[in-house]
Amino acid sequence: MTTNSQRSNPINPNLITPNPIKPNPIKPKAFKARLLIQVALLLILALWSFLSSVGAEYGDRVITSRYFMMGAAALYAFLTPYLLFPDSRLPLYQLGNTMSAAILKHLLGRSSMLCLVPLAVTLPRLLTSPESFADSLIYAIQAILFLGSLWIIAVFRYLKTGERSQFWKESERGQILQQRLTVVLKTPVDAGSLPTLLETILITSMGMLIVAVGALLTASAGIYAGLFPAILLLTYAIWLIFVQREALPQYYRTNAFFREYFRTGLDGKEDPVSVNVEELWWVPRNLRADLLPVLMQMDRKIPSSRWIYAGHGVMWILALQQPGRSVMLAAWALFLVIHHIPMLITSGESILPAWFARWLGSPFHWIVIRFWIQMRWLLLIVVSIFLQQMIFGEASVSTQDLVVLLTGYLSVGAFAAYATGHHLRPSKSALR
Amino acid sequence: MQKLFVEHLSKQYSARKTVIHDMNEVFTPGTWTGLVGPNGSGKTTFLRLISLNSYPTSGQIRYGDLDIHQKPGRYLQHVGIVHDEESLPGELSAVELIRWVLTSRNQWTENSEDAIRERFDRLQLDEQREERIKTYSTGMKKKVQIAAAFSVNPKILILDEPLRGLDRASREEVLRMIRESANRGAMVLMASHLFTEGELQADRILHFPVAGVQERAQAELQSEPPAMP
Repeated sequence: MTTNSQRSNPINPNLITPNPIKPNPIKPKAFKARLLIQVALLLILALWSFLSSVGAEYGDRVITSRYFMMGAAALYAFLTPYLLFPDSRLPLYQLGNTMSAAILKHLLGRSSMLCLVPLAVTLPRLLTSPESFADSLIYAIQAILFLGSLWIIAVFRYLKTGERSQFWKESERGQILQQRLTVVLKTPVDAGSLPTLLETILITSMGMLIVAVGALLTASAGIYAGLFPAILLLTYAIWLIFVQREALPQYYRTNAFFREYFRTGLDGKEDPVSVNVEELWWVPRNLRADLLPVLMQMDRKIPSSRWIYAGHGVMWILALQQPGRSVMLAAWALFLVIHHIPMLITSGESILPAWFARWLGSPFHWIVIRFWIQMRWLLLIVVSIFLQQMIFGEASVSTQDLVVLLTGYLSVGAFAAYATGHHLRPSKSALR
Repeated sequence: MQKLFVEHLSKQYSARKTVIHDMNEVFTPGTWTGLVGPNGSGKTTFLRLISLNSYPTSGQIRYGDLDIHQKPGRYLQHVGIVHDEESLPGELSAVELIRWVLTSRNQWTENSEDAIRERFDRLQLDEQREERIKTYSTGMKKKVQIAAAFSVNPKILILDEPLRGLDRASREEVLRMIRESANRGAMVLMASHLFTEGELQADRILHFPVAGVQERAQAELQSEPPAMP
């Protein structure tokens, strides 16, 4: 049977298959597995959000949701550039000379969890009100408009930072500014990072302001008026998508900048983590020499301290809401598990190549090292929980809960250390 | 000074893929042994076996009385390795890496900083030695590996393609460093494609594939079941 397309091909009809399989080089093989994990995570978060809000007054739920939305604004502002740039798919898009719409779709897809996670946390507690469904719906629409619009705005704004960042990084004016800032702040400052820093401040402030104004309008002029700031935000996002599309070719420039920036940092000369072996008081003496370089590399790759401190901030904001013991227990458990993520991310060959690790120590030695690295947060965790106990009493977790949490933290740490360390044993059969 | 004994060593990656078969050798201190042979002849596999990055299918390797695969920690105290891969801890600088190696092995002294500087000067790894390894070129990473291997004054030097990616001047300097180590009593085992046997300057040449592999392969071919019709 001959199809129309075969007849119209003047070159070689045999090259056209009757039922061509469309090549899809963009989606990796692990796409489905990753999608499943993401969906499961979102469902767990939604369930947690729902369970933690059961029995709470609707007004309290709305207030907590506003705090979550403010936190989401900070999350967008801080995480978006890390999630998007440098993009490992860039060579593929260059090769395919991909159109702007596809690039935008890709960028939004790549950062979609950034939007979906706050939605999964916020919506269940807003939509499951036993009282007025109409009010719940309006608050939910407000949250969707806010979170969706601010996410798009963050993606677009960071997409356009490449040109400015490159200017400040490479120009004479940037050099002068860098020197002055370094003198004033007594710490190395990279002028190339300033546009990103300004965007972080701008997006966080914009998000928090919109939430605050929305709350004020709701209180003073009614629930529908509270939608107005979110609609403004949506208008700005739509304007960016449809009017500012010419910014999309900046994808290449911004990628180029971040590729160079993350590869070399401050000309490769800065030392953001400069710790002396003797400062590792929480580490047994015989482990310090090997623990320090691994720790330094982890912190250079991912500044996890900032994340952890921010996480404690969030835990305190949550505690101020006094959502109850069970919610706090669940939140602390989640937060303690998150502590181990940086180590899992940085456990690859780029930090500790297997041959090098074997040269210096046994697999067990490195498992112990990785376990002890996680101990650095233990004191902060204990102090933070203990203070919450003192201040909030029964609304916080109990001493018994603290023991359970710490046991869990140590167990997950031990498991993570084993999972990232046991592969250092040389294979007895396969060529590695 | 201990000798390294290779006794009835065999390595196969699958039931029908033998790379080393019943190898018997003795390596003596102060001797530079060059491993020569075509690609896939088993040189790297052998170096991986004696650097404990692979385990034998049968047979054993002894350093003196020590079965190296049974007591890896005790054996590796004496070893310096230049691996065939470029992988190194990327977030550290070259200087930090050597400091790590020395402190980890309890070899750090007040003269170590000077020794590190001198080593990198010889290898012509200049101002970039303070930058992160992930920004280095192939040749620079190889220089860091070489500096790390030599910094611990090893009794056994295992070098897999140590000259790959190096410029001519650096290659000559590395060869000088190897000769100095051998003269001081180190046992050197080195595989390199960049030199002919004559140019390698080694005291002894070990040809790969070692005796027995071809015969074994032939026997395997003959024992294969007939092809399905």
